[in-house]
Amino acid sequence: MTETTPKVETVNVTIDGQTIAVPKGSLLIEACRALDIDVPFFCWHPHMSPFGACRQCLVKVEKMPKPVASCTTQVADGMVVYASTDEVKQWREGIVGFLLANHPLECPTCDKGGECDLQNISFKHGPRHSLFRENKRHFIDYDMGPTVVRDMDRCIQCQRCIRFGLEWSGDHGIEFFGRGAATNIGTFARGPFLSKFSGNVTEVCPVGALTSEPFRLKARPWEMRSASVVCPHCAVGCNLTANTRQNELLRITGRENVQVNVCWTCDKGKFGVDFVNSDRRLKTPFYRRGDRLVPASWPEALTEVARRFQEIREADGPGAIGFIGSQKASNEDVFMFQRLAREGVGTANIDHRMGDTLPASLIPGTGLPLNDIARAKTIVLFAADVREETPVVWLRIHNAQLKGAKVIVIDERGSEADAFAQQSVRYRPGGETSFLRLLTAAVAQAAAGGSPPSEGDGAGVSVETLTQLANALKGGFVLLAGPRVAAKPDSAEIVRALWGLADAAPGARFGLLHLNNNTRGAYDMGAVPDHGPGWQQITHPGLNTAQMLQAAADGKLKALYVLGSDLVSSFPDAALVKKALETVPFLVVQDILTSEMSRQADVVLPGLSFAEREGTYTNLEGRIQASVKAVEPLGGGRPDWEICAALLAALGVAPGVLNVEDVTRQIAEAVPEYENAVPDRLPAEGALEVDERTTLAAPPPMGHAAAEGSAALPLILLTGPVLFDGGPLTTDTAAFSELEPSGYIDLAEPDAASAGIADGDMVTVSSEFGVVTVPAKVRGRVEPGTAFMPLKATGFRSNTLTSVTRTVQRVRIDKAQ
Amino acid sequence: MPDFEPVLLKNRYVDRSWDIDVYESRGGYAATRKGLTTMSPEDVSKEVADANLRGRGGAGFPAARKWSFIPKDVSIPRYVVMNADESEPGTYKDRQLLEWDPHQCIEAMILSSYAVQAKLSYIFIRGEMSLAAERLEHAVHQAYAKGYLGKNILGTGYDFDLHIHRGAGAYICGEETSLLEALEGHRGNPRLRPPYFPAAKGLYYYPTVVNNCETLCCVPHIVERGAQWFAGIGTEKSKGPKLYCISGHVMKPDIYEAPFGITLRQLIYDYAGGLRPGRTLKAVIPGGASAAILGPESLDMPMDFEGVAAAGSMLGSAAVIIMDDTTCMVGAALNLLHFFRHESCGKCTPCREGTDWLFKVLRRLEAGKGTEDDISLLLRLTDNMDGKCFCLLGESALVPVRTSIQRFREDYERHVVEGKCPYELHLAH
Amino acid sequence: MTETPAHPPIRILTKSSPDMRPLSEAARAKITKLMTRYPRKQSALLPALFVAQADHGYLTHGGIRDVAKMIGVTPTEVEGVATFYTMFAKRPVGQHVLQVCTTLSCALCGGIELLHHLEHRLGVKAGESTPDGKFTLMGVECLASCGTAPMMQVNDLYVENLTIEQADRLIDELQEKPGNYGREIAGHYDPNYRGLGSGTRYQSIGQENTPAAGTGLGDNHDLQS
Repeated sequence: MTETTPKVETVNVTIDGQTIAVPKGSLLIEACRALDIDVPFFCWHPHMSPFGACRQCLVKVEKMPKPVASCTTQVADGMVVYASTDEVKQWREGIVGFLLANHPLECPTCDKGGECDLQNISFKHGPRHSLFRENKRHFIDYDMGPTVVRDMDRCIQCQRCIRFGLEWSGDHGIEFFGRGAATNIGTFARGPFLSKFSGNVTEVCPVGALTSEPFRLKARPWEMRSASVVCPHCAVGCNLTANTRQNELLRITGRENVQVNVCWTCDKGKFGVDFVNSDRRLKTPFYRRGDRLVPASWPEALTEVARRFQEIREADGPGAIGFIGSQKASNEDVFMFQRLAREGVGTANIDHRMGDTLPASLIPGTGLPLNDIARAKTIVLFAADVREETPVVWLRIHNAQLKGAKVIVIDERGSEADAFAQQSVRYRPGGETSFLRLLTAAVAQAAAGGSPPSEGDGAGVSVETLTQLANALKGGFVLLAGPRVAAKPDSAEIVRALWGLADAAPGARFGLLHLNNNTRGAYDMGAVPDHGPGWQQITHPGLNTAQMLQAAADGKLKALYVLGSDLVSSFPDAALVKKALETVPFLVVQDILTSEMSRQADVVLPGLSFAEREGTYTNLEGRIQASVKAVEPLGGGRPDWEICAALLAALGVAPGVLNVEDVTRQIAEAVPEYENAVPDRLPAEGALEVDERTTLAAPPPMGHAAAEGSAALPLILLTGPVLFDGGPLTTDTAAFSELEPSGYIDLAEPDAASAGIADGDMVTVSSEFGVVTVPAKVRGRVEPGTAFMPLKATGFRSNTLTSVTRTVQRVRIDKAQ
Repeated sequence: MPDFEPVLLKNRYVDRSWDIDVYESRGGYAATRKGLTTMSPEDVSKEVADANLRGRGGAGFPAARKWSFIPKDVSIPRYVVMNADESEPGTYKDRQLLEWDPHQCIEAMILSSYAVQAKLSYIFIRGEMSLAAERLEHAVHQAYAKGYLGKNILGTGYDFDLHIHRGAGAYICGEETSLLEALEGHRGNPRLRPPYFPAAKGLYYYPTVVNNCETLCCVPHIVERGAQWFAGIGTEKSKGPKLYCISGHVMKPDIYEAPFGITLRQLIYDYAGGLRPGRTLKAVIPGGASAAILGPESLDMPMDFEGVAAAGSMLGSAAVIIMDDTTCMVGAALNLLHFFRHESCGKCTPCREGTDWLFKVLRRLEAGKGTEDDISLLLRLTDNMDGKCFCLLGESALVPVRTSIQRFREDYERHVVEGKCPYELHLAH
Repeated sequence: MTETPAHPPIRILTKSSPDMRPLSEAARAKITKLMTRYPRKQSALLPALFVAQADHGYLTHGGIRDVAKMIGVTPTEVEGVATFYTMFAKRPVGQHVLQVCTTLSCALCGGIELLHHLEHRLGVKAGESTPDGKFTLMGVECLASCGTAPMMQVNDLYVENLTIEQADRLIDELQEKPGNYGREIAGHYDPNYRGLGSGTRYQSIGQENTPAAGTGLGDNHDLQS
C-alpha cells in the first residue's frame, strides 16, 4: 500500500539575499533552515506547534516595526528577511544573556553537557561575558519518579515538555507551576511523573532540566557511539538510536522518521532494553545429558539437533516435527527458520502465532501508512487499546485529533483512549461480528440517505448508538483493528466483517494493528502452515501453533523447535503448553534469555538480541526497516538465521547464504513485495510493501472447537496486552513496575460491590482451568459482567485461567482471605 | 470643581444605587428598552460607531470597529466579555462603576451583546473585588427576575444570558487573550497573535468582543441620548466623558468624570485640589504603570489619547499618579518593577528574566550599593527587552526604568555617590 | 544484568505530605452548579477552586484532585492553574488575612510605613502568619483603591484611607473576635455594607485556623532568592 501525498502551494521569501520557494504556511524559521541559515531556538520544535516563548529566534523583517519571532511567523509571499545582521545578532545576544543570568552553569556535572542547546547556542550566539551580578535563583528539587530527573535551576521555561504532554501524549502529566521568575515544572502534589511516554521530555528538553534517570551520570555524549536500530517491542517499529560505550548499550533515544514515529518513542522502547545486558542471557548452547542441561559447543549442539530430527523423521515422518516462531525475530531469521522446516525437515508444521487464528490470506492489504492515519478526518479504533498495544500510534492519533480528527473508540472494554474519544461504544464480548454487520448496514443506509437501522441489540448496542455512529462515519474514516482481534477464535469472520464495514462507506480504509515488532514480517516470510514466503499457497497445510501443542500433548508430535516465542506466558492456554512441553520427546529452544521453557528443553541454542545483530523488520504498516548492529554479542550466541542455516546444512540442504545480506537477497527473490528491501535499495525511512488485498482463497476456518464457559462462573474474563507487562523482555527494567504495575484485575463497580471488593483489595480469580490471586482495580474501565486482566502480568499468568477451547472465558471472583 | 454633570458616575454615592428599584427610579433600563424595542442590532452598532466610542482600557481602539469584526452569520457562537479585571496601578475607575452601578454594567452588556447578537456573555471581574462581585451577582439576579436577562427579553424575542466570572489574582489577565485563557480555566498566559483580535478567535476560539468596563458603560448612554450628544463631548478624536483616576501626592485623590481633553493642570489643580502645601510637582505618570514618566513641563497637555501621546507618553487607562519633590525616582521605578516582576506570567524570556534582573539591580541601587555601571546596565537591559517580548507586559515594564533614568538620572547618581537613598519616603519594602 | 548504581548524593530531595482530604458534598454540589454557567466545564475551574478553598480553608491537594476529576482534566493541570493565581492559598493561612497594598499610589501615601508598622505590631514579616494563627500579613500589589491610599484588604473587605492609629484599632478589634466565623469568598450579598471608608465587619476566609509559617498566598513555591 502506498502513502497518499497531498499537493502543496508555495510562496517566495528572501532571506539574507537568498530567495527560496517554501510551502504556503511554512514558518520563517523553517525557511531559514531550508537555506541553511543558522537561527538559534529553544522553544520551537519541528514537531510541535508554534509557541514563541523563548524569543531566541528573532529576525528582522522588512516593513515590520519590531523584531519578529521566526518560529511563530508564517512566510508571506515576497517577504524580505534579515537573519544575520549585526542588529539581529545583538538581539540574540541579549536573549542568551537573559537565559544565562540565572542558569547555574553546572555543566561539569550536568547530564546534558555535550548535547545541550543552551551550551551550544551560548557558545555561538551568546555574550562574551556575563553582566549578571545578583544572586542566582534556586529551586528545591524533588523526586519525579523512575524515569525523569528534575533539576529546575537549569530550566529555561521553553515548555516543550508540557507541550509534548498536550500535543502528543495527551496525558498532561507535567505543567508549569507558579509564574514569572518563579515558574517551574511540576507534577501534582510533587508526585512522580507517571506516563507511558515520559522519556520523551528528556529528549525535547533543550537543557539539563529534565534528564533520564536510568541514564543518569552514565556517560558523556561524546564518549558514545550511535547505531540506528529499530525498536524490538511493538509493531510500530519506532526508529531508535542506540548509544553505546565500550560495547555496552547505555541509552536509547528516538530517531527521526516522520513517516513512522516522527521522533518519539514510548517508555518501553526507550527504557525497556535492559534485557540486552541481562544476567538471564543465554551465552552458550546447552544440551540435555541425563536430566541435566550441560553447556555444549556449537557443533555438538547442532549435531544433536540434526541427528534427532533425522531419527524422528525416519521413525515418524516429517509431520512429527513442529516449528513455532517468531513474531520478534527479523525477517532474515524467520525466512531461514521456515526454510529449515520446509526444506530441511520437510514439514508444513510451522507457525508464528500465539493461539490466534487469523488466516494469512487475510493479511495482505491490511497495512495502513501511519501518515495516512494521521491525516484522516475520522479514526475508528476497533478493539484497539492503542495506548497499551501500539503506543506511538496513539501519539500520531492524538496529534491528528488536535488538528481536527475525530476519534471513535469501539471496544468490549474501556481504555485510556476513551477520555479523548468523541464517541465511545461498547459491544458485548463475543458479539463483534453481529455488531459489525449491524453497523455496516447502518452505514450503508446512511450513505444512501436511507432510514436508520431498526434492529440494534445484536451485540448489546442500541439503535440510537448505531445511528449516531453511522452518522459520524458518513464522511469516510480510517478503521483500525487491534491485535486482540486476531486472538479471537472467530478472527477471520471479524476481519471480513471489518472489511465489509470499510467497503460500505466511500473513502473508508481498514488497517490491522499487529502486536509485535515483526508479526507482519513473520506472515510475509511464510511462517504459517498454509502459506509460504510471498503468499504461495501450501497445498497440504500443516499444523498451527495450537494444533502442534495439542499434538505434542497427545504424544503425536515428537519434536518441537521453538524460536524466540514465549509460549509459557503468551499462549492463552497455559495448561496445554505445560502438557505439550512435558510430553514432547525432543524440545529445541532457540532464544536469548533463560526461561521456564529453556529449562525444559533438550537443546538450547542462544540467539542474539536486536542490538547485537543486523536485520530487517516489517512493522504494522507493512514497512520494511533495517536495523544495524549496535554492540558485539555479549556471549557465544549467534544470529538466528545463521543457526538455521547451519542446521539446514547439517540436514543436507545447501543454505546458500554466507551473511545476512545473502538472506535478504533470497527474501527479495522469494517475496515480490520485498524486492526493494535489499541493503543498497532500502531507503532510510524504510520501504512500504506494495501489496493489495488478495483474492487468495480463504482456508477452512482455523478456529478451535470452542464453547461458552460454564454459566456457574458469573464474569466474562477479557485479557489483552498492556505496555508495561511482566514479559521476559521487560522484567529487567525496574522502572516499569513503578510506572504502572501490570498485575491486577479490572472489575466493574457493581460486580466488585456484590463480592464485597474495594479498589486495591486482593481477589482470587478462578476458572475451570486455574486460580490466581491479584489486586483488584475498580475504576470504571470495564462493563458490569466482565473483568479484564493483562496478559503477561507481573506476579501471575492470566493464561492459566484461559483455554483455546473457549469462545469467551468465564471466571468467578472472591475476596482473598 | 468644574461643572460637568456626571454620566457614568451619576449613581455614585446614591443610597442603595445597586438595587434595581433605585436604579430604575433614576432612569435605569430605559436604554435597554429603547435599544431592544426600537433599534436593530445594526442600529446599535451604528450609533456606537457614530459616537466614535474609543476603548477606555488603554489602547483607545474604536469599540464599534471591534464589533464589526464579528461575523454576520449568527449561527456561529459569539460572546461579549467585559474586561473588568482592573489591575493597572493607579487605576480604580471600573471598581466604582461595578460597586456603585452594577445595573449600568448589565445594561452595557445587554446592549453590546444585542449589537453583535451574542446569546451568552460574561463580566470578567477582578477576583479581589468581592464587594463589586457581590453587588453584580445580586444585580444579575434582579435583572433576571425583572426580565431584562433570560429568555425573550422585554418581549423582543432576544434571549440573552449573562454571568459573572471572577478572576483569581493576575494582572496579566487584563490583557484580553490572557483574560480569555483564565475564563477558559487555564493559566493566564497571553495567546499567540495573529489573529490580532479575539473577534476572530476568542472565547473557545469563537468570535468574541472584549471591551473594558468603562467603555461598555458608555453604550447605554449613547443608545439613550444618541451618538450626537456623545460626540459633542470631548476633543476632535477623543469623544465622550472620561473617568480620570488621580492618585499620589494630591490633596483630593479621586475619580473625576470630565470631558476628554481637560489639561493635566486642570485635573491636578481644579479637580484634585492641587499638591500638598509647600510641595512642587516632580513627576507624573499619566496612564498607569506602563506609561512613560513625564515632568512638570507637561502640565498643559490635553488629557486625551493624542495629547498625551504627543507629550511622549500615553493616556492608557487615564490613571494619573502624581509625585511631588519628596519622591525618590529610583524608589518609584523599583516599586513598579516589584509589581511587574510579580505579575510577569513567565512565558517569554525577556519579560521573565528582564523584570527579575531589572528589579534586582534597582533594589541594589536604591539601597545605595550600586555603581555608575549599573545605571548603564539598566538601560542596556531595557534595550534587550524592548520590542522582543511576547506581549505588552514586558514591553511596559521597561518604560518606568528607562524614562526615570532619562528624566531623573541625578536621582540615580545621588544613590551611587551618597551610598544610600537620599529621600525619606519609603517606596519599597 | 548490570546493577544500577546508587545515586551519588547530589540531589537534595524534599518529601511532601499532601493534604488529600476530599471535598464536602456541599462544595461538590456548588461546583456542579457552577459548571452549568459555561458551555465548557473547564471554564468553571477558577470558581470551583474558590469553592474548594472555602471548603478546606486553603487549597488542599485533595481539593485540587476532586476539582480536576469533576472538571475532567489532570490534577497536574489544575495545580498548574492554581499556582498561577495569587488568590489561592496553597498552605493554611491565619484566621484574618491582612493584605496591605504596596504599589506606587499607596506607597506614595504611606503604604510601606503601614506594612512596616503591622510587621512590627504583629511580630511577623510580610508573608508570614502569627504563631497563634490569628493573622497572616502580606504586602500585595495594587488593589485598585489608589484614591483612598493607604489601604489594606482584611479578608475580602477593603479598608481604605487608613491611618496607623486606625490600623492599630482594627488589629485590637480583630484580636478580640472569637475565631471561626468564615465568610466565603463569592459569598452572600449584604445590601447594607458600604464599601468605601473603613469597614465594620471582619471575617476570615475559611474555617481552618491552623497556624502556619508563611502564607502560601501568591508565594514563590520552592523558589529561594
